[in-house]
Amino acid sequence: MKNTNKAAKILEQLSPKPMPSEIKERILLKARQKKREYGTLSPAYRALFGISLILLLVVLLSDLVIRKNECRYLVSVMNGQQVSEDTLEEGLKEMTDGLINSEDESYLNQWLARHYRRHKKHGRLRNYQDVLDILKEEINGT
Amino acid sequence: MKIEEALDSLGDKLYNYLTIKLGSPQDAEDVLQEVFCRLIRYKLRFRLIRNPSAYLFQMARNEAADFLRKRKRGQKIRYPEEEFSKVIKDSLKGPDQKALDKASEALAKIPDKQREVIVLKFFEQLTFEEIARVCGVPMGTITSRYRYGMEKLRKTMEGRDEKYE
Repeated sequence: MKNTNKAAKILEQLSPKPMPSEIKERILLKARQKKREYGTLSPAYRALFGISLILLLVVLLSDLVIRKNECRYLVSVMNGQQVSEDTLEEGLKEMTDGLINSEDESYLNQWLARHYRRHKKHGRLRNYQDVLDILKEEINGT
Repeated sequence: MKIEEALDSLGDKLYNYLTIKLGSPQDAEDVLQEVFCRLIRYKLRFRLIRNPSAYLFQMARNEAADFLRKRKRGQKIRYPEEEFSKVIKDSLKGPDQKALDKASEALAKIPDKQREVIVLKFFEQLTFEEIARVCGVPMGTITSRYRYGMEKLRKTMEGRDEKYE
């Protein structure tokens, strides 16, 4: 080790030259450019994002349309239009089973809407209030 | 540590290390650019690490290895000794021009692995532990490389002195 002291002493006198400032600037510029690239979406991700957005919009719109139709239908039922007698008889058992532990009228309305839609084409309809009364009687066992 | 801070504090040392390792300032710039671009990608990891200096040197070393692999398809590049010695001389500074000439000539002659340890130790001021981490080898290997490298440097320098006397 003693023999290498001379070489070490020479090396200790030396130090690295500073990097030229233009190289530093170029490196920073390129790094910032990359940073911007990473900040934005790549074409593949952009396409994926676009497709997802379209799908989401389709789902939301279809949900809106379905909901609107249901509302329109419920309103028509609530306005005194009639419900099919067949529908009522057919669904009564299901209804009483479903409502035996529930006193929620929204469930009842949903049921009515569903069955009304299915059977409205038969033309044999019954008044909504009558249906409601019958069902309530069934549920309450009176 | 932020990217700009890293470039300010370690940029010179990294550039110097890469210049001597690759034997070309232009290649050193390309590789260093790649290192900092990669750093942007791993900026969170870089902020979390304890020793940014060793991490950056390790990254630079890996990038340099990739660079050489891509360019020469695995073949080792051999620069003419005089040319390489000039590159080393241009990347260093010192009060004594004669000592600078002597050291750069001797450094160009020793094996790459030994030169790397000596450069990291003397010019980039890394500890043996850090050099071992950068090179991915045990510390014992690093100290041996250092010892053999220094011995060869001494012999080369003495031989040069004898030649000029």
